[in-house]
Amino acid sequence: MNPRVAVRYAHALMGLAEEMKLLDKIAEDFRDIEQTLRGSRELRLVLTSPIIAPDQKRNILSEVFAKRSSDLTMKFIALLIEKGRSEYLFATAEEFLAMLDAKRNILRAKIQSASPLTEKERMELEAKLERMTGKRIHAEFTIDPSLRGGFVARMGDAMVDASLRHQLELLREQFLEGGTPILN
Amino acid sequence: MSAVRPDEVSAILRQQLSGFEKEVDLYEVGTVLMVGDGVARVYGLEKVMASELLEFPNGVYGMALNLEEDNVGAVLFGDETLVKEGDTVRRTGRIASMPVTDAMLGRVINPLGIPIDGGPEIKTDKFLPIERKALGVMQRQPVKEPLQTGIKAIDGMIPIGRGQRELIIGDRQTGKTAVAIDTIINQRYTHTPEAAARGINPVYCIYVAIGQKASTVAAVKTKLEEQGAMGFTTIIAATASNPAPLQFIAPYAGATLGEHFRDSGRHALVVYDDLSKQAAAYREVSLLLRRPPGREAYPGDVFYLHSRLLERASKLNKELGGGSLTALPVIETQAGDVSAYIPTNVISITDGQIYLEPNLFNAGVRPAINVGISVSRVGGNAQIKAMKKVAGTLRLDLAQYRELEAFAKFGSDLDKSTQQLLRRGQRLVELLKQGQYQPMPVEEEVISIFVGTNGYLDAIPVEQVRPFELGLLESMRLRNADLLAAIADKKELTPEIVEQLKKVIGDFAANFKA
Repeated sequence: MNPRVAVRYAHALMGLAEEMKLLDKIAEDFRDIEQTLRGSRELRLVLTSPIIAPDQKRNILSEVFAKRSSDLTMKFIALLIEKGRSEYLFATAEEFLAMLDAKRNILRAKIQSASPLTEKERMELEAKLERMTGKRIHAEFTIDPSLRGGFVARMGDAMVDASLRHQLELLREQFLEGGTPILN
Repeated sequence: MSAVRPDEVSAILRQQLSGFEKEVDLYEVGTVLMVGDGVARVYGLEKVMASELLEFPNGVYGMALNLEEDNVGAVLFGDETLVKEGDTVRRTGRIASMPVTDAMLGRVINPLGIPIDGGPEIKTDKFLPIERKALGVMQRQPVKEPLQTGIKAIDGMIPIGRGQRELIIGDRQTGKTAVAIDTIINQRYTHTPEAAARGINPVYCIYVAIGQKASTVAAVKTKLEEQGAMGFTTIIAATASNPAPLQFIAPYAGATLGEHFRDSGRHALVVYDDLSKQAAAYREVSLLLRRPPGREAYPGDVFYLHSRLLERASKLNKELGGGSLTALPVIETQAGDVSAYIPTNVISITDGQIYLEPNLFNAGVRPAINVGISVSRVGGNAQIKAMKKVAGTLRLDLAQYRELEAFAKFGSDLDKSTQQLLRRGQRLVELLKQGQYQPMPVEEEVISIFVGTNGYLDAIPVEQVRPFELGLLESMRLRNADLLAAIADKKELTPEIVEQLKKVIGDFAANFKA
């Protein structure tokens, strides 16, 4: 849940990037920024800290990103700092990437399975989810032994639950003739 | 209980297993952002519906009340300590609803339809949403059948019809619940074969206890059982220890169960005891959900809270079976202040009010109904002819009496007609007193009031009025049962009946004095 400010800035950036036909480059830059910030708590703290002067923040950021990033990205970062919104850089990056996904009809899926999936299984699973949602799936696979078996795919709010754990829960409910909400 | 054979168990399990083939389950989820004070904020759940039931971990259920731009505000019906930040919340796809069935009669249930009286599980497939839209104009017809409360003062002067909404309002400890309970007890008669023979349809009762002590609810249940009224009554209890959201939905649950009876062509009576506590519970929930407070810190839609509930009371037209849902909301005032926010709201919504006063209560006038400011706006059409006839002058006599009451201390200095008015008034007030849990059949009420308004009591000392009334009714039950039956059957006072009545009462009065 990102603040509205982040949505506004991301929107502006998106518009400008499209106009200048730099969308791919900017997208790359922001994926980089997002990952860097996600990885570095110190850098996030620097951006949110009110004690560190804006000039200093700008210097730090240009040192980190200037070599890799395009001109527009650096200008955008400078603008954020100028407006005293440096703490929203991470949120803006996230929001921008989410907008980009929506634009490119991409759906991010988090797929957990009880045991590692083979490459073929992954492909099949993605293909199946793509058919189901009508969107291109970019999946992130993790392993969660507590599922006991099967897999769970989460795409936004929607859950596709084919795990053994869930089925056992359902079975338990059925045996208990549950279904009516019980108060604690 | 006989022992269960292991092979039987396996057979049942096998049978259940064979029907179990769910490979993939699809559902929608959200994440708990914060939880506290019985309220949770959830991120996600993008497609959730307003007032949809949500499933939290550990079997806690909640209801989505606020759908905001970036989060969903939900109230919890269970223990909030079982829910923590980051938990996954699941949509159920169901608007908050409750099971309804005739098997709920005689039971105590919570607002979600779960029995809380330790009895067996209530099984039903019929679920109805707790918040249902009230019926429109075309589906209704005017109120025309009486709902006898068994209380002389009410049935005589503030008659209630089936499908009406009559408010019971008064300070604490003025007997509001007593009026409601007596009314429920009096419906016992409608379930008898005699009533059926007279064309009186049974009335099923629902007593909704909101924010009361569990001990009070238990006492009500015991009393109803003692009086043989529990068999056609359901108690829906959200006691003071239940979370505010449950207290807030309790009246709607009562209305839903009442509608189950109404929609099957039967008659239901729902007592909401009391709506001031429900409004307070709703205020609590609203403030926790950060809705802006208004007057007395109630949210802006507190009027709609009660109007949409009471609008569900109705009398259906013939095509829909002619069923009815009568509502008796109860409001507690603070120090007689009926101009507070909630009382004025509910007064304006209902079809009249029964006003109970502490002064009268303490003066021994019980039920402590102030008949001067109590009204019933539609019940008059529902009164039986006999009652209409005898009670016609009752209200007037009492009004004149109240006007002159202050002069009573001048005693013999007053002129004849004034003295007569005072004498009549005192006796009528005495006559309208009635013990708790002693509702009267309508024909006896008619006779009591007939005695009062026709001046048979004027010659009797005030303290002898009640013995006279009781003695007369007792002797009539023994010797003139046919006359009582005639009034109940014909529902009006024909000249012959009046003649006979006059004779019987005259004889009794002569003997009473002697």
